[in-house]
Parts: sequence; C-alpha cells; structure tokens
Amino acid sequence: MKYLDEFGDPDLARALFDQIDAVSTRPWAVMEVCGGQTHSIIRNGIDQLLTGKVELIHGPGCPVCVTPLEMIDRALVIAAMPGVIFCSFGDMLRVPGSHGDLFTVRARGGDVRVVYSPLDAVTLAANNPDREVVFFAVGFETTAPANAMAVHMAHRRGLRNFSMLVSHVLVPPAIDAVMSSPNARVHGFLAAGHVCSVMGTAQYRPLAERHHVPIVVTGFEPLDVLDGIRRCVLQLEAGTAEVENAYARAVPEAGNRPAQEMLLEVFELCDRQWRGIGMLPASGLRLTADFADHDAELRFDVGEVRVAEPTRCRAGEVLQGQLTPDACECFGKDCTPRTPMGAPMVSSEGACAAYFQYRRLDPSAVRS
Amino acid sequence: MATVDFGGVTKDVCLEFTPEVGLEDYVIVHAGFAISKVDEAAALESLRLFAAMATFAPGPVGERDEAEG
Repeated sequence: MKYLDEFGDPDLARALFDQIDAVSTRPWAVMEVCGGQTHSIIRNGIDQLLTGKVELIHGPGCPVCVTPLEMIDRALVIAAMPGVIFCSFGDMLRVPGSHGDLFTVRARGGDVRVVYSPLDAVTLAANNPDREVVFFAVGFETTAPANAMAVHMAHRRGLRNFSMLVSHVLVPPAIDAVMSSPNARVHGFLAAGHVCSVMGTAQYRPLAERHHVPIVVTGFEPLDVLDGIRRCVLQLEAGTAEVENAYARAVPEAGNRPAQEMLLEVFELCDRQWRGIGMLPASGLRLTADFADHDAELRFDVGEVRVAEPTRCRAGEVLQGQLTPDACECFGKDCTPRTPMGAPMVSSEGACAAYFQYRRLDPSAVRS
Repeated sequence: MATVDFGGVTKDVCLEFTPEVGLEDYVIVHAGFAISKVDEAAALESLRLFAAMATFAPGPVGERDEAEG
C-alpha cells in the first residue's frame, strides 16, 4: 500500500542503521512508548539488529494491558446483567479478570459483542431501544476522540440506553512516571505517532525539559522506527533533549483540532489506576457531568468488586520495562495467547504477544 | 462518512475530525475515524532524505554500489 510499503525498504533501512552505528559511542536505552511500535520492532527484528548499540525498552503503551483489573471485573459484572448488550473492541474479550473473561460471560449467555468502531455501538443502541447498550471505552488519546464522538452522538440523538464504561489513559503522565521512577534507566523516548496525530507535539516539551530526555515522535513502519531511533541517538550523542517529529506525514505539530475540541467537550482529566504501575494523578479521562447520563459506572450498581491479581503473572514488570516477556517463567508455557495469564499476552499491542508471535521459535533461545 | 480503501478492503469511515479530506487522499484511520490526512509532500521528503543517506553515508565497501544500481 502506498506510503506504507516504501517505509519498509531494506536498503534505506540499512542506511539508517549505518548512521546509528556510526554515531553511537555507547549503548543507549530508548523506550518505545507505544505497543504498536513494540510489535513492529519485534516483528522486524529491529531490536536484534541494534544489539549492543541501542537497547529498546518496551513501554506501557498498550491500552488493554494497563486497564486495571478492577475495571475489567466491573465490565464482567455489567456484561452479565440481563438486558445488557456489552460492546468492546476485540482485544478486550480474552483479557482475564479475577474470574474469567468476557468470552466466559458470553459462553454463559451474556450478550457480548465485538465492534470495530464505537459508532457501531451507538447504532446498536438505536436499533435496540429496549436494551441497555454499554461500550467499554479503553484506549489512549488516539481512541478517545472516537469514543467522545460516540457519546456526543448518542446524547444528541437522545439514546438514553447508551452508556460507556470509561477507562481512558494518557501518554504524557506515563512518560513522566517512567522517568520519575527510582529505577529509571531510559535515556530517550520514541513517542507514539498516532497519539500525536491527535494531540500534537507541544505537550511533550515540558517533559523533555524536566527530565532532560529527547522525545522523538515516531511512526510504525520499519524505516519510521529506525529513523526515530536514529534521531534519538543523534540527540543523545549531542547532549540535547528536544521534541522532534520523525512522523511528519501523519503528525502536524498542532495535532487534530476538531478531535481535541471533541475531547474537551465530552471528557475531563481524572486520576487513574494503571495496571502494573499504580495510581497516576491526572493520567486519565472520564465523562464530564454533562454526560453523566451515559456513564455506565453511575448507571449500573456493580456492588463491591473484589480483585484477585494473578500471582505468577509478571505483567507489571513487563509494562514498566523491567522484564522482557521471554524472561518470565510462564511465557509460552502456561501463558500463551490462547490461555493468557495477563493482558500483554492477549493484546495486539502487548509485548508478551509480540514475543510469542515473532520470537518463540528463535533458535538462539533453544536450550538443549 | 466516506468509503476508505485499505489496500483492497473497503470500509465506511467517519471524516468528522478531518473535514479537509477529499477524494483520492490517504488517511490514517483509527476506530472507524480518520484522525489524520497523510501529508504526501512530507512522506516523499522523508523518503528523499533516507535515499540521500543511503547514497552518501559511509558503509561497507561493495554493498552500497549494489544498492544504488
């Protein structure tokens, strides 16, 4: 496809790699924030190509993975209620809660549906006026405008049977948390390209200054990722800490104004619990009071949710970049995409799933 | 709403956030919404810069000439 295939050209990738190789005087640790980039890196072997030069640390940018267990348990209770049509993006269905997942709810007779867009859930609400349609709104700034628009439309159309279980999170507070951790060993960041398509690049400047780290807005194809790393390494070698845009074809500096306006109209900042990381102040979005009628948390009484974190799953360490998935003793044995113990093994943006899909047959990993 | 061709698969996509998009444009789509119009000039500029690096950067002898040809 145009503007995708060209950005996977092996000769140009070689040129970018050569430059990284030529300028780096010491091994640097660079975190790719976004799970989509993690998958691109592992799939294309970029981390292996850069062994000894740049260590890529996988960041917490997998929305399904950082959704707190308590929220998943709440979703399971609502989805099992009679009269409810529970809608979600497909990734969420297999994420284990304390007791089962959304598939389990469906197997027991719950009406759980996968939708491609939150607008599909609005259409379901319009077509099923006698049912309660609940959409599980999970995601970063890329997804939030779509979900905001869905609530806005449902509100405008007077669809009182449409509500959202909101668990939105934001990228900048996550970068701040990574750098504020006493174990921080990240020298530079690749910021998530499509998050910046929506939000623009300005909000990363205070972070780059405060923590003195280069932040390079980066795309997802192999050349995009390599160019992001190259620019990050050039800055690290020069001792600068600027925000750079290596994904100009999809990221205008100001972002997408209509999408930002929709966010501001429907959502407001709130503190959020991140799975594996903990509570981060002003790190998420919730519906404003004007849209309280569409807030599933207010509409459905789920009672007291008792959370039971799985004991052997080390997803928390993976999400903080402290453990690579294949170093977990459950990886590929007790924990696979078919029988996941934690969310990173489920999601198409999860680091464990990336390693399972592209790395488990690595001959160098076989011990005889 | 508009019809977007994803390399052979077509889908209806909401253009509410990208009113400037017209026929034959390339867009980035997320959750059924176009969130960005691909800036073709910027895409070509990136590729031009990468190609310049491939031509002029010092690399292992032999491989570079082949890549150019």
